[in-house]
Parts: sequence; structure tokens; C-alpha cells
Amino acid sequence: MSQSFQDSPKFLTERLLRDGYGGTLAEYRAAGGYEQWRRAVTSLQPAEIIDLVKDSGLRGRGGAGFPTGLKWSFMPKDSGKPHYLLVNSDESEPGTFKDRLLLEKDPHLVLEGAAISAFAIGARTIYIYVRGEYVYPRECLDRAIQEAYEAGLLGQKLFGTDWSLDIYTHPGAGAYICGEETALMESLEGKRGHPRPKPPFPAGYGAWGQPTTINNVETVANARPILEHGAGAFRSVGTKNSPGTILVGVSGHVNRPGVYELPMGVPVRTVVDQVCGGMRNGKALKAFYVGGSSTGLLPAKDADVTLDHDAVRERGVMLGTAGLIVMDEDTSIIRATRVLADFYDHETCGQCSQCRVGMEWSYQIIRRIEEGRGHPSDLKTFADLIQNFSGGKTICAFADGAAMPFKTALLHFREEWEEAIRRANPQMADSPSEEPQTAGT
Amino acid sequence: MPETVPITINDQDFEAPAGAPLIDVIQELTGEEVPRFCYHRDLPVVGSCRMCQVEVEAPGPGGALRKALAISCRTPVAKGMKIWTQTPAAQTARKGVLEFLLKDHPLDCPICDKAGECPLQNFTYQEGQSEGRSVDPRRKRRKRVSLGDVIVLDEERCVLCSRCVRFFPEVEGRTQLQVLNMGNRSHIGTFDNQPLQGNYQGNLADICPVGALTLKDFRFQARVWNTHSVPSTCTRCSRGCAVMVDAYRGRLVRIRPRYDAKVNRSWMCDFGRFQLQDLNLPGRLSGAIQEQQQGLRELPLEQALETAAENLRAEASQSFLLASNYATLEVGQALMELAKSLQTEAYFLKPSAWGGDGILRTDDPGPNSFGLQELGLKALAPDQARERLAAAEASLLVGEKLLPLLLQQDPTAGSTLPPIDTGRTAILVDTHLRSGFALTLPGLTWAETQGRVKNLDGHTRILRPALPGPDGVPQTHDLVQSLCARVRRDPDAHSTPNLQPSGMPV
Ligand SMILES: Cc1cc2nc3c(=O)[nH]c(=O)nc-3n(C[C@H](O)[C@H](O)[C@H](O)COP(=O)(O)O)c2cc1C
Ligand code: SF4
Ligand code: FES
Repeated sequence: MSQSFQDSPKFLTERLLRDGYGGTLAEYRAAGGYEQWRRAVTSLQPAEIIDLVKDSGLRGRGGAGFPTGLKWSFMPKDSGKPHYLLVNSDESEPGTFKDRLLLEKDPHLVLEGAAISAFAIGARTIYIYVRGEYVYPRECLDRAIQEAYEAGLLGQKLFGTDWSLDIYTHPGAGAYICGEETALMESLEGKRGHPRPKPPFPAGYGAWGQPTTINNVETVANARPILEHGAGAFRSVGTKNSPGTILVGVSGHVNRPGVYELPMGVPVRTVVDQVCGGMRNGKALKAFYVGGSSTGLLPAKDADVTLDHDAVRERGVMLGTAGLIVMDEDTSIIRATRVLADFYDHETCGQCSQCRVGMEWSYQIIRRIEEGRGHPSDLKTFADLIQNFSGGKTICAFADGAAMPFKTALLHFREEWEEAIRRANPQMADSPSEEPQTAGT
Repeated sequence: MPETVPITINDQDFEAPAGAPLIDVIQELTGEEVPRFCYHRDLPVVGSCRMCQVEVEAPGPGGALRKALAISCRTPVAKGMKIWTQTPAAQTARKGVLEFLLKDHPLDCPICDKAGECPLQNFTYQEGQSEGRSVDPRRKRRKRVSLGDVIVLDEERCVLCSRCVRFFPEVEGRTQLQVLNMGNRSHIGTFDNQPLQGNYQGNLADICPVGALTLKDFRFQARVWNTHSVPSTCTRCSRGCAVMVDAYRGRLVRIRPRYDAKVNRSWMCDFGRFQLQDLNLPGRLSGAIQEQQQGLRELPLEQALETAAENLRAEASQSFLLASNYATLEVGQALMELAKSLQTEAYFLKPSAWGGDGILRTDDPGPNSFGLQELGLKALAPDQARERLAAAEASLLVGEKLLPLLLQQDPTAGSTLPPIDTGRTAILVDTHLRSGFALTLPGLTWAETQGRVKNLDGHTRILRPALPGPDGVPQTHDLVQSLCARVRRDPDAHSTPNLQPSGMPV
């Protein structure tokens, strides 16, 4: 189970660690590429693949950690309708940048994994929804798709069977919310990227109203190693409830930020000190966002937490997309929270009353406190607001996600907030803000 | 009929149709109106405002019971469901939504046309908190955005429920408004700032749950709690949309749709809505006028009726009786009786097709063609009717809008009409004096009329007076009945018990 991170297999990145690997089709095939795709189409049943992925215990890498095989099994059998696989590469979560590595450096792995996943759910069409700003990654994907078509790995009558598969990339237009699965579908259909209320769920009524499965890039990429090495080999890495490896994107105040493929269950302390060469400038760790901003932060004393779903949940946060943002002792938690509040305020789609107004209100409160204009009542109000927009009261999980960094910053760094309010200049607090009040109140 | 299933609401047992939205079921069964902004019974459900949350216990995906907050507008009734509207969780959730909605709201109720009939105001009284907690600036937005001839938008009051956005595709089959931008920068607007178009713009002011979309026509005209509102029926075409007619200080100030599942659901057209000028016309006739060589002479009503009766009796079966299709069933009945007494026929004017829009507004101006035909009045086209009139020795013309329709003029223009050949002795019942008639008796507008009409689909609907007519003017059907009694020389014809001024029932 718990190999050290050095000995752990690199299911996804083994080729990338070799010198000179360029990710072309020839290089990818030389490393056994597309053999699992051929095997799936020519000698496996979709149900066998779903069972294999269930046995592997693979959980989604897009944030929620939902068991992938189970999700696939929700797709109807013999529906007589077109099925779609949507590959989510909107990757816009602050602190998350791991899918980009695969898209740029090993796009054929993503294509092969997606192709196998599509076969398992009976989809003959895949849309890869690529974050709008990911222009280069999308070019890499498009080039790889073209190569695959030319080599007869995509298209009609694959490997002499009746199976066919088409893959398209679709660029987003720069909205974080379009990574939410139903907003992604709306956007793909050419509409505003507004999340849909659920039910109906995508497996029954997804893109264009057809049965649809949506998975993260890294999730589908894992389909190849699972077929190649077997469910047992996959399970032999990581923890019981969080098997396999995970791409951890580390950013912030460490010496070697970057994307690392690590076994699930590796302690954060190990990631910071050993994988990333310790804290920058020898500073002390203050806090870290565990898996992207929307999963919440933990203080330094929690650095012994291991990166697996159960362990982080016990500390009140989530594993998310394993985007670890490391902050040193000089970091202002209030400022960090304000930067995120600004992001959420900018990115809420604005359908739900609480999320639309709650994000801006949160931002206003945090900014006031940061600027020395805090009110004694602010923390109570802020905590109430968070309560009022989170806890499943909105259409999508955006508001719940935004609540995490706010809640955890208040919980773990209460002193810092209180101190800022205590030090607030009372005259500043009562002076008019830079934006004038409207008349009529 | 959907199957009914047992549910509980606030621990009381009920039977409810499976699949029906909780929000409606709760209201129907308990009378409680769960607060809502985005939900509207005649628009597609989006479930975005999150105002209508209640607590629901029902089997979850795994089959185990799950108690959670749910939006009642988008949660269908299922067997065994338990619903609580007033648990602390539900109350807090709704209070929270209200607080967010009020955070940027200008609270300019004292100058807002919606005040008094404003869901945001009402729900805030019902369950909000009385004090705002925000010390941060309210977002400044545009206060007066003209969206065309009918509607003005106040962005600061808007709660982005998107009812107006959904209205146009649902009713007109085309999109006109959209939510533009995103997050708290969202606002309502049209493509390219084009003005709104079409015959249904006024409905936006009714469905807007705040004072963001208001009618230019009604802007600052009256506070709604001072208006006197009467349920009635629009008469401007044969659809006969159910309406509320609002009067203020003796004038009509607003007509708005009233829900009628069989006729117009929640809507009405702008052509029907904006006819107030036509109904508030000055120069109303309040007594009978005789036209003689020496000029006009006022006659007491009784005497005028006697004169009219003599004229008609003299020509008997040669007299020509014509109603406008604005005439109520009661007027039609009275005319049929009169025709019987005179041993002649009664006709109604079937106006030329005019102005239908393929949605609500039909091309038959006037509300009662169907009903009059059914009573036995014979339809006449305008040119036939004009010929008959010109040839008649004695004639009686009854009903609102009869002359313009007869002359194939726009009945709404209120402009002076060209002269009409009225034969020898023509008697007219109308709201205004017209030249060419030997005798004119005072009539009422439909907004002063008590009676019934039957719409194109055969639905009978009621007109109720929202205003009293001019002093001393009776209901037209009473007038015609009295005339009939005099023609027949009924012994009690002169007591005319019904010939009272058309008082407004209070
Ligand atoms: C606001 C929001 C943004 C999201 N952004 C992404 C994203 O960029 N990429 C992604 O894979 N999943 C994102 N998700 C999660 C997706 O909704 C979905 O759960 C995921 O793509 C499912 O894939 P998985 O089962 O492979 O994890 C987002 C969710 C929310 C609520
Ligand atoms: S929770 Fe926020 S982001 Fe999600 S649908 Fe509602 S308003 Fe949009
Ligand atoms: S009325 Fe139910 S969410 Fe708006």
C-alpha cells in the first residue's frame, strides 16, 4: 500500500519523466500507446470495462471524487439514443493546473483514455471542452486528434469492427462556471453557461438531452493504465478508499512548484518538504489550500494530513483536484481570502440570488477589513452570509465551493481577522466608502 | 387525471396529484403562499431565485429517507412526501435569500409604482427581517431605461428572476429580453438595445415581482391601494380576456389581466390594455337629445323613450334594429324581444376582420359576436348594414363602437366620423352625440356596463362596472327593455322600475 512517493508507479507520467519524450503519436505508440484502445474495441465488452474500473476504485479527479465506474454504470443500456462523453478540461479552479500537463505533454494518453471511457458508456462522440485560455493545450490536442484520425485510431469501422468514434475539442470562453458539468453542457450547446437544476442528471438527460457522462481529463486518462496494469495494480497504490496515484499541482511558496504524480495518501508535509524541496527562502509554512481554492485551507499544524479523500474530510476540507497552494508565514490570510472572493464574485453565474449577491457582499466585507475599515459586526455577518449561501441551497456547487475558503479562513485564523478589525481605524470605518450610497434608504 | 397520493404538509395529511409542483399544491391545500420570485404558473420553471425553499422528507436515490431543503417550485409531489414550510431551516433559508435580494435593493418603495402589490415587499413583511445588515455601498445601476413605448426598466429594483426573459419565447415564440453579463453585474436588456416590440409588452409589468418593469402609461398615476379594482372582461376583441379594471378618482387608470385558465391564462394584449383614453373620453351624453330643424333639444329620458317607441311602432315590421357586437347578451335579449313585438328581425354588426395577432387578439373587434348570433340576432356586414340603415323608415342602433365599426373606421381612434346616411328616423343609443340621428339616447362604455358576453369559443364572461356612468344614464339593456315595454304598451311600461341610473354596486 504505502510505498514511498519515490517508488510509487507513475501511471500517467512515466513517459513524461523520460528525456526527450515529445508526445507525438509515434512516440506514444512506441510506449505501448493505443494498445488498450485496440484491446477494448476488439476484445472487451463495455460492461467488462466498467467492472474493471469499478474494481480499480478509481474516483473522479474533477473535484467531487465520485467513483468513476459507478458513474459509468448510470448510463442507460440500449437507450437507442446517441450517448456522449464530455471530457472536462475547463480547469479554472484557482490552484489547479494539472490537466494542462497531460494536454500539452501527452495528449494521446488523454485521447486513448477518453476513447476507452467512451466505449465503456456506449458513446461514439466525445467533446473535449477546453478552457478558453488554454489555446496551446487545445492546439496540442487538435494536432493529436488529427494524427489519430490519420492513423485510423479514430473514425469509422475501427480495427475492423463496427465501432466508430469521433472526438472534437470545444473551446470555452473564459468562464470558471463552465467547468460545472451542466453549465458545460449548456455552453457546449451554444447557450449561456448557466448550471442546470438537477434532476435530471446527465446520465439520463445530458448534452442535447441525450445520455451523457462527464469526466475530468485525469479521470479518463487513468482508463489506460487500469486496462494495461489491471485493477489490482491500480489498487496497490494509494489508500483503500482513494486508490491510485493523483496529479498534485503544487503552487505557492515552495522551492519547486509543479505537477507531481504521487500516490494517494501522501502527507502534505512530505509534498512540501521532500517533493517540492521545502519552503522558499526557508520560511515557515502558514497554511495551505488542499485541493484548489474551493476545497478550503488548513493551517500548518495540519500538514500531517494525507492527501486522500477520507483524511482531508476528517479535517473539514476536501481533496478536490489536489491543487495544493502553499502559503508561508508572511502571507496575509485576509488578503488571500480577498483575492479568492474577488475571483468568486467575478465568476458566479448569477442565477441564484444568494450566490449572485453573496459573493460580492463577501468581497466587500473582506476588502473593508483588509483596508482597515472593518466593523465589529462584520465577522458575525460574514459567517451568517456563508451559512445562507452554502449547504445545498443553490443550483450548483459553486456557492458551496466558495464557502470553503471563507469558512476555513475564519475558522483557522479567527485571531487574524479579529486583530484586523480591532486595529481598524474607527473614523475610517464610518467614513463613506469610495462608492457613494444610493439615495432612497 | 394524475393519480393522487398521500402527503403531509406541516404534519397534516392530504391527498395531492402526483407530479404537481409543491408550491401550487401547498397553496391549494393549505392556503399558504410560499414566497416566490422566479416561479410563475404560466412560464417555464427555472428554480433560480431559491426563494421558495421548504423542507422535504422523501426517499433519496438509495431509497433511504432524506430530509432536506428543496425548492418547492421545482419539486414534484411524490407518494409519502412530508413537507414542512415553517421549520427553522426553511425559514432561515428564505430569510437569507430575502436578505441577499434586499442587499442592493434601493428601497424606494415610496416612489415605486409596484408598492402595495409588490411580492418583494409582501414577502419581506411576511418573513424578512426589518433591518439591513449591510454597511457596504449598494450597487448603482441604471434607474430609468426605456425599453420601448410601453415599459421602463429600473435596474436597481430588479431581482433577476428572469420571468420577463422567459415571457417572450413562451408567449410570442421569440426572444426579446436577455440576462446580459454575469454575476452581480447581470442585468436585463434587449439585443443591441433595440426597443421591445409587439402587442404583449405590458404583461412584463404584471409579472415583474418588483418594480423593475413598470408601465410608462401608469407611471406615477396612482398608488395601487387607492384604486378601486373590479374584475371584468376586456371587450376589444372576441377573445374576451379576463381583466381587472382599476379606477382612481372617477377615472380608469389601469387595465390588467386576470387569470382565466380557459381564455387568457395570465396574459392580455397591449391593444386591450391601453384603451383607457377611449374609456375616459370627455363630452359624454347624459340625457336624451332630439335633433330637429330648429336644432338640438334635450328631452327627459321617459319622453324620449315614448317618442322612440312611437316611431318604431309606426313602422313596425319595417323598422331596422341593429346592435353593435359590443352589446351584451342582456342587450341582445332585449332587442330580440323588441323585434318580436315589432314583428321584425334584430341584427348585429359583424365588423370587418381587423387586427388579429395570432396569439390572443382575434380579428373580430368586439366581444360578443358569438353570443349575439346564438341569441338569434342576424349578422350583417358593415356595407349591408349601411344600406339597410339608409333605406329604413325607422331604425334603432344600439351599442358601443357601433358607428365606427359601421363606417369601417378604427374604433379606437375616437376621431370625428364621416357623415352617415341614416334614412328617415334613426334612433341611436351611444355614449356621445352623433349628427344625423333623430334621437340619441345615452349609452355606457363597457367599463360602466353590467352584463355578459360570450367569447369566440363560447365561454360566457361577465362585465362589471368599474365606473358609474354619467348621472341618470341607465344600463343599456334596461333602456331597451323599457323601450320594448312602451312599444308593446305594457300597462306598467311607465313605471320602469329598472330604469335607474347605472349605479355602481359597492
Ligand atoms: C463551479 C465548478 C467548477 C468546476 N470546474 C471543473 C473543471 O474545471 N474541471 C473538472 O474536471 N471539473 C470541474 N468541476 C466538477 C464537475 O462539475 C464534475 O464534477 C467533474 O467534471 C466530473 O468529473 P469526474 O467525475 O471525473 O471528477 C467543477 C464543478 C463546479 C461546481
Ligand atoms: S450557485 Fe452560483 S454559480 Fe451555481 S448556478 Fe447558482 S448562481 Fe450560478
Ligand atoms: S420560486 Fe422556486 S426557485 Fe424561484
